[in-house]
Amino acid sequence: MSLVNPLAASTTPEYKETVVGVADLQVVSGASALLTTYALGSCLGITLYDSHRKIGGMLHVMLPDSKPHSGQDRIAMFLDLGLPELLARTKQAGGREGGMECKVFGGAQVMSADKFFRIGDRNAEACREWAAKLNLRVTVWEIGGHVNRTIKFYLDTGKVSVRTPSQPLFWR
Amino acid sequence: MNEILPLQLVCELARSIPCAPWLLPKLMDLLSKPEQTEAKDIQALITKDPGLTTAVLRMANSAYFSKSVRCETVADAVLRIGFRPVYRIAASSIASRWLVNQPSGYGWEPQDLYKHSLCVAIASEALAKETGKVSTELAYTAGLLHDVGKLALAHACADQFERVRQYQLEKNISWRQAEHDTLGYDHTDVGGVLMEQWGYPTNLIQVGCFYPRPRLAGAENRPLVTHIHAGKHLATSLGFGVGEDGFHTELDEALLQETGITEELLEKILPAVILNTEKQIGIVGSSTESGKN
Repeated sequence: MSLVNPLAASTTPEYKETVVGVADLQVVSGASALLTTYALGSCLGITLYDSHRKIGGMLHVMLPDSKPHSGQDRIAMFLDLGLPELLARTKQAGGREGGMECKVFGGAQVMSADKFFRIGDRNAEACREWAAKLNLRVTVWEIGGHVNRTIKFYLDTGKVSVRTPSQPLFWR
Repeated sequence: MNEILPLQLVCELARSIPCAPWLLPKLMDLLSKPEQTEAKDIQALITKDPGLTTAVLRMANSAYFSKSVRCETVADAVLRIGFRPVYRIAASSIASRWLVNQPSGYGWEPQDLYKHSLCVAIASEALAKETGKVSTELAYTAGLLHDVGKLALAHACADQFERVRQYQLEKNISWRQAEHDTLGYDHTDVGGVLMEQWGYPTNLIQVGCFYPRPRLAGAENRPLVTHIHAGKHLATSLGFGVGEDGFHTELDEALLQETGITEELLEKILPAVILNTEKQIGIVGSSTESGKN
């Protein structure tokens, strides 16, 4: 799908959009590439970006730990498998280890869930742990709160737009 | 800003929403007495609605449901793939063409209400299967229809939503409570009245009225309402079609525990809920064109 960056005023580049589904990861390259994932909820949307080579990846992950789900083979469903895979595939595409920037979005929490099934918090905690293990340089933690986030990652600038219901779009 | 409409008028205005799902309770009634129901009874009911007949046949013959032999009639579909799958197809088809015609409100994107309702239906059904405490088919249907009141409220009162939004932010309360304090009623009140007017059975009406506060449901229907309450929590956490109200919800953790719905159980079913929701959104999404009216 071709889209126009709403921030670009005089020159309006067209983007080639790749949608990242739930429990999915995609790696793309080129300044005209755009990665989108919808309705993060308590899931996390994690981006990796090599600004010099214009290579970027995105993971939409649902659960922190694969161990209780041994029958599941969709690795992008679990942070402990999905994040190392995102890093490996971005490097395979040419991203330089140590030269990449990581951003993390999502991890929302239902307002009244004091203790019960706080999956957003658990995802965020696991992400901090795995980002440290993998030596990722995380520059944005746009996480938590009581809000559904849709994100778009533009590879020309590395900027990510964040849209929440009935609120103005903002950039991170 | 316009005046706040009385509850009865909100429900009156909901009559102009396309295709109220009046067929579903009648189909559920047939499903509840399989020994007395024949394929031709189901065909007679479904073929009252030509759009639904087409949608059922198309979906019954899709790769997801179809076996090797093609279904030419609704009765064929019942005989070859069974009443429950046909019921499932009909319920999803009715709800899809009804819910995708959503008005603006709640910060919804197109089809959000349908996607969210489908995820609640699938999560509630999966929980019912695990606990064995309520009928899986009933849990699915109730999940699909639990938010009918929101559809009507968004249809009639969209101009009041800014007031609700401000009040909710100011008081940091649930969105439902903010609706109630601002309008004098909330989407569950509207849902209950609508379902009653459509002749729905008591168990579904209780879901529409009490799913955010399942303790208020009658003892007989409380397990069903609690399963929808839990399914809603799971679907909201996943984010499918969640609007601006979505994460400002109520949760009765103690009742969930009492009903045997634990965190471990929710986490166990979560991967299957995601995969089935995506699959069904894909199937129904491709068939809604013919189903619109």
